[in-house]
Amino acid sequence: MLQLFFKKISLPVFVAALISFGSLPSSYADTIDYGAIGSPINLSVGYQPYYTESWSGLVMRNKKFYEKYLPKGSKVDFQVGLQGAVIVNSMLAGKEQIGYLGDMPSVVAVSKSDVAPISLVAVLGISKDLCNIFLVRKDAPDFKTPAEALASLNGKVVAAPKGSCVDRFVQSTFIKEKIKPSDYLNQSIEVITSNFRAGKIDAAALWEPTASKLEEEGLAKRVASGYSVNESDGAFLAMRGDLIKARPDIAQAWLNAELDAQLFMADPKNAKEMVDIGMEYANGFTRSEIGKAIYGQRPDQNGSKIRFTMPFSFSADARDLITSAASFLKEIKVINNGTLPSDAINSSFADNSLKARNLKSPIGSVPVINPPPN
Amino acid sequence: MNKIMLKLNLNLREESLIRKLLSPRFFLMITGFVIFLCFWHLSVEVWQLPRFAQLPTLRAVVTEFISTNPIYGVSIFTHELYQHILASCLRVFAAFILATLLGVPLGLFLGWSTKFREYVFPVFEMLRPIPILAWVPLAIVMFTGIETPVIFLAFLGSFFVTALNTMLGVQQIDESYFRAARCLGANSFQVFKHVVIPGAMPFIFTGLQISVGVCWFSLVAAEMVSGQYGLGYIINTSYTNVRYPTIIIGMITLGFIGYITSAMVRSVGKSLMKWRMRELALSEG
Repeated sequence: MLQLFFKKISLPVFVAALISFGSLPSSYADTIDYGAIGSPINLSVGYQPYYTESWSGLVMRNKKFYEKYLPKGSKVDFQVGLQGAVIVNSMLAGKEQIGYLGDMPSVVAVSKSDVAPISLVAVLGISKDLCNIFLVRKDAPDFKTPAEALASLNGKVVAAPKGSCVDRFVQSTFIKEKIKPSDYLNQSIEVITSNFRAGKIDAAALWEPTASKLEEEGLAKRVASGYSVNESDGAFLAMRGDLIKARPDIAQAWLNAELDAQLFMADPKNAKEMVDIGMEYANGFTRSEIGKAIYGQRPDQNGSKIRFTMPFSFSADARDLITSAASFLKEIKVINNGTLPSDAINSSFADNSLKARNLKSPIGSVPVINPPPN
Repeated sequence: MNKIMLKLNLNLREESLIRKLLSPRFFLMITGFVIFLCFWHLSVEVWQLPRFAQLPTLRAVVTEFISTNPIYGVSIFTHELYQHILASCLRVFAAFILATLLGVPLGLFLGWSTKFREYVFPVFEMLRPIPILAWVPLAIVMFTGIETPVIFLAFLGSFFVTALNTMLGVQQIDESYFRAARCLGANSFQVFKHVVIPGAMPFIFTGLQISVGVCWFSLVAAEMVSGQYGLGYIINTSYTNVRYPTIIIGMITLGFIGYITSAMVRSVGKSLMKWRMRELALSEG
């Protein structure tokens, strides 16, 4: 039998493959050359125009605060991520070094240290209704309270983009409110929008500004948020570990610029300009939708005067959110370890930036403005 | 080998199986797989070639695939994997049958009737290059329920391949067959039944083999809409959750089942096309 085998197949090829199997242990892995400390750098930054809580990325792109801090001659290329997962995959592949992410993709990113070490270096925002928003179909009854609306989801078809910041909110709401939907579908925001249009789903959880868009277009009604079940959402700034290690000067420079961007957002005098910036980068939205997404007031906010706080560094709230997100992701088998690597959070650069300007966390908040600037 | 067979005293079916296993074709196939796996292992884990080093290692994928308690929840020992396989198989089956039932007659008419072709072919050719993803929003709005848009999306690519191959099959039939049939007094229906359909058969079955493959690769886009089950759904969800080993598990399973379905179509085609083989043998003789 062996004779036949050796006679018929291309033996040298097979033998060569077997011999080389494991016998040439040399490594040609990609190492990114970030240059020497103080030298100009080319950066690729993933940002999300379609996630309001991470809009300091839009401010950075528009106002170019980084030019003041990065070495002269540096270049920054901003790449749109329609969802955090797209940015995480690009960061892991070394195509982007800095990413503006929601809470769940942030935790997923730092858990993949076997692929590439990534650290969270700043908090972009903490809120209860920038990501955590429940919408129901347009022909649903007018519910008196968020609790009544949530109870109505029993036996209904609910959709959310799994792995995104809303997934944890939805699943935790199901547990807290003892809701048993007939189906919990994993769908992208585009598919959810089409399904609301076609009346195929009863409810969905989404983030701003898409939630405001669906509401404004009359495709869905907002009925509950993180305020209704006391669930926070967040956004974080992530950076590749090799960049931090090779160029701590760049990491610090970016954090200094990020602080400028967040201070700009927190100043209500800039509200109109913030809407302009949102309009420039989030395609297909009206001014009213953008204004409501960032500054709007809704009944389910329990009268809160703040849309989101900006801790900048890692406050206890931010750390709690990361810890609970990690254990949730472990529970649903998205990450392999509920305990994140020791370098998952690196607050040193954010702390340095605050210290240099004599500021303390939180650095401010984005207020509710009623009516939103138009 | 014949001596071995005699010594083993096997019946015909067992003998045929042993012959297949000992045939060079089987060994070549195994060798192909071994070389592919060696390249994967070496490029990712041993040599860590640029752009390959971040890929999941063969070891990690195999460990996850055969684990009784997989880290990311999907392995050959989990009920979930079979639920996804079943959902995908049912969708592909429905899409393939629909594509065959609609694509073959359309292709036959396109090839047979010049007037019909002039009406229909420009629209057909305009719709054919549109990617499946572009149809997603329309499919959701056009069809009721969750399953029908998925089946429609998987059907689309398959339908165009089947119809086009069938049309080409009709067009390559030797003109003399049509003339001979007419001379023998055959009417249009008889020409269609006895010349067009059998004459296009080889191309139809080639088209069906391609079509079933197209059905499978359209599935990843189609199951974006499904929201719950399917191998395409696993791949999509694992991408958004950055579960690389599960992406590969989904791909391997999809490839393996796709291979089996192609082989099934090929085998049906072979058995239905025995007359063609005889015809070819006679013409060569």
